[in-house]
Amino acid sequence: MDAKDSASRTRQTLDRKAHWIEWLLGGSCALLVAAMIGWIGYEALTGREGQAELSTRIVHQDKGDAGYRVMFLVGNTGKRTASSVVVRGEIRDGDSVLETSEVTFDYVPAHSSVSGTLLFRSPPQAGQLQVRPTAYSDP
Amino acid sequence: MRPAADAGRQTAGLGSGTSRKQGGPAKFIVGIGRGVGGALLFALPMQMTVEMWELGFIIDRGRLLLLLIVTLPLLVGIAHRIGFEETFGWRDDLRDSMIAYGIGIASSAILLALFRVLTPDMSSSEILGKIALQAVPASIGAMLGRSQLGNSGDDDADDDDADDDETDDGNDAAGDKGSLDKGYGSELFLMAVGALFLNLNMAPTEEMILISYKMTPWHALATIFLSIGLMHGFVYALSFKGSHALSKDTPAWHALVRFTLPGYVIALAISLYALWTFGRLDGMGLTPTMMAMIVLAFPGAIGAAAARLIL
Repeated sequence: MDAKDSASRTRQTLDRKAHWIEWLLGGSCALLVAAMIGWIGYEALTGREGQAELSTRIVHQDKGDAGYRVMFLVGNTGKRTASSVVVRGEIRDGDSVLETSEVTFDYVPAHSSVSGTLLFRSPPQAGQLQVRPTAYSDP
Repeated sequence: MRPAADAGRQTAGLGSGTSRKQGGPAKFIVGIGRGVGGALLFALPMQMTVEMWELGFIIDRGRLLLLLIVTLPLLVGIAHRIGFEETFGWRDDLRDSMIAYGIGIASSAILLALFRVLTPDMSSSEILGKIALQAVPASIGAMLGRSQLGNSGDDDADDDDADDDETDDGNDAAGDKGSLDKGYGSELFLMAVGALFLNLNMAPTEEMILISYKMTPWHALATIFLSIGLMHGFVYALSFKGSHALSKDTPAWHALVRFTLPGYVIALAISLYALWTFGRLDGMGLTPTMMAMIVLAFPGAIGAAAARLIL
């Protein structure tokens, strides 16, 4: 890196009169970064310390080799991510629980949903199927 | 000193031996050796990471295919930009890329088998997925190996340059080839390679999303400003060797708009692509996606800024 090299580089890449494409690209990148900062800033200003708001929705049921499959989505509409989310499925007949099945999700991020599957030996149609989150921790 | 430097220079490329007048099989083998060294240096952290093994069978096959295809022009670009002088042409670059890819695949297969991550009772899809995924960083490493583990292959360049190489080897390799004549586009390309260098190492790990979950938006904002500030300071303000020297009449914000911010956006984009490829963004909402991208773009920005010192 001798003087000649750095001089020519300076002249070439950091001249005041840069190619218009450089300014165009630089300008759009500045806008993009500003938009991102704006969005995150808005979230920061409006986001009160929220809680995770978990809900489940059954999307599909069928029969596989390992038993009856109940596929579901766990959604988190809250502003906070939940970790170690336990979802328990129960097949109930009135007050008595015929069968339970449980799965743990590593994370259910804020404003996001994650899918999972519970397996049962008896057909879920035999009683009343209930799938709900039972516990989570803060990440 | 001189004979050693000359020998190094003559063997600088992966496949240089076959296309050089003074080349021979021994030099070709040294080139391959450098490639293997680079592949190890770059890919070992990933080959010894449990998430990368899991991704071998978890990763969506369409995304894996896309990653494998995207790697090829990237390798050709690195070969063209860092590998040889311009006179060498795209055919040589392509050949070098294929050699690097081959080294990546072979070294990944051998190492994963050595770690007993690959065993004969696994399905062929799992074995292929694991090797293919690791082959991407390993091949990039093989390609970079030449510039990192040796000088940058200027054998038939002029004597001045050769002397420079000899006395000031590392620095010259960093600044020599690429940054001088090729201008803006290749500056940005270098930054992309640098961002990939750190991003590929970190993107597969769970910690990236875990950090983004722990952060509040305020932390994310601070990360953005720190990333841009470090990036700008790292290369332009501190003016390391191999980096830009600001001329006196150029205001600092010129470099910020023309280089640092595009570099940061490149780091963000590569972070987003890496996270998406590794399935970290599936089902995620917009804000958590942005937060994860910002977290990963922090090392990406450092890598992009440092690229011009390393490469």
